Amino acid sequence: METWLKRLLLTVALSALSLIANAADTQTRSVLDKIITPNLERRDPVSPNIDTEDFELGFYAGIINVEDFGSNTVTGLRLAYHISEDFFAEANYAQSTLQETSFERLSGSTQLLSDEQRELNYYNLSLGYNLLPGEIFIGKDWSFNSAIYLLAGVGNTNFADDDYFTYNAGIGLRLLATDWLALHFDVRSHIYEHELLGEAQTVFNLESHAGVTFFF
Amino acid sequence: MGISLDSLSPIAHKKRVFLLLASLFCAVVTTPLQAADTAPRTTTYTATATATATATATLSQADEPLQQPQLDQAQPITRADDDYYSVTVDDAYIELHTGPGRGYPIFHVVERGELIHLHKRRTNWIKLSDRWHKNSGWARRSDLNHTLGLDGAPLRFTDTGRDDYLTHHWESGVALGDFKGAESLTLNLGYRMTRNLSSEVRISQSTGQFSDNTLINAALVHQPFPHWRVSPFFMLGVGLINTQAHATLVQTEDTSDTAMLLGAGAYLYLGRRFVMRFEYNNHLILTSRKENEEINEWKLGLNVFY
Repeated sequence: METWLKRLLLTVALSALSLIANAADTQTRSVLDKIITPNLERRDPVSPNIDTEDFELGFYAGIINVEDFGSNTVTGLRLAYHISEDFFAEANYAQSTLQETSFERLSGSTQLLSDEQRELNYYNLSLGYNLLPGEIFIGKDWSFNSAIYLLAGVGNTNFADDDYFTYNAGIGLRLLATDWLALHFDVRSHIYEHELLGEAQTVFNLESHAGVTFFF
Repeated sequence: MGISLDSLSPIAHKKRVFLLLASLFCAVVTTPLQAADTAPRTTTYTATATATATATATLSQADEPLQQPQLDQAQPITRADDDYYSVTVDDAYIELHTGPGRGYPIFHVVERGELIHLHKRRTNWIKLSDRWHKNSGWARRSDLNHTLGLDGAPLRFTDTGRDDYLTHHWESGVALGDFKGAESLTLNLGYRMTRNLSSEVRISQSTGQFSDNTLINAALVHQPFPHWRVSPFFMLGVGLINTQAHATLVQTEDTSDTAMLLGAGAYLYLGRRFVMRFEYNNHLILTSRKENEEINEWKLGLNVFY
């Protein structure tokens, strides 16, 4: 008879106890939290946004030797993007006017190409590698940063009403007059195949030029 | 502006003075606040969780890190001037090269505690000058990781890596291909709209035996798994193809047609800013003739993201 009453009383007492214990626990925990949790401000590192100067834009002028069509002046534009300290990508566009072939000159009146067809233009996209970075000393007081680079790429040559898929490869010297102004001296070979004079032939057109570029 | 910065020269000393003043100030201000706080605090033990949260919030406001706000008011945060940022060196030393590359000689060193000005960046090199703008040279970007802004916050200079590949929006590159037996050259410019979806514009020129083609495309590129090192993609696009027959063939004439593009391929992350792209394109050219023309193109390209 009394056992069920005892049991009931015990359950009530137990649950009451556990409640009190729980409350006490939360109390101590929140007090502990205040002591343990450091009141420090979290500081995230800042990444400063500094002005970048990875692009290079400029122009050049030189001589291009187009096989069978003489050595001609060439003028062009250059845009480069410096990907890393070693590699850069470069785009060029240039124009030239071709001379007569020796056959045309000897035969007198025969013309292989019209004046319009003698206008040559090319563009190319190349990847460059700064092979020999260093300094150039001019006189006693002057030193300039410089780099000798290798370039290779692909592009297109247009003349005589046709496009020719063109490979190019070359070597150049970049001399930095200031941080943002560079002088270039380049030698390039433009390689393509044409059938203009009857049979297919691969030509190597050598170009040498000097140029100026600005970093921005 | 440079002069005002120079006047802050004994930073360490000033900091100490500020700290002292700030802690005194805070001690005075927070004592009554804390006293007022204790009343709700005792009740919160039995009250609801939200009440506890608000109580701790007010508490933390009062106990706010003592030095920080006061310093911020006194000194400008890392300067975002037109010309340069000013930071202090927190490393043993930083070497200055004459040019932005490892091939250029080291000519100067800035030491711990020195104030330096950061001017510009070229590839992974930063041009900086010393406090008096006397010596200026180039330092590797990663070497500047132990520098502090004028508010004392650490600065981070990370080189571009694979993580940036997905957060940078622009990418452009060149691809070489085989366009129905002709050599093709493609230039592309892409903009990443979401992690998975990019839009792309590309222009390609191919010079074949009988005709030359110029193709301009606008396409949508979907990468289902952009975070994979080799990440496949699918593309859908429209464009315009201009076919120019060679001058020696008299009968044919130049045509301009609409071209539909279906493509698939994969990106391969190479390192730094480079990704390689291998792809197959199926061009369906809607000609004015009886039958449409289908051209298969295989391409291999190199892209740079920025």
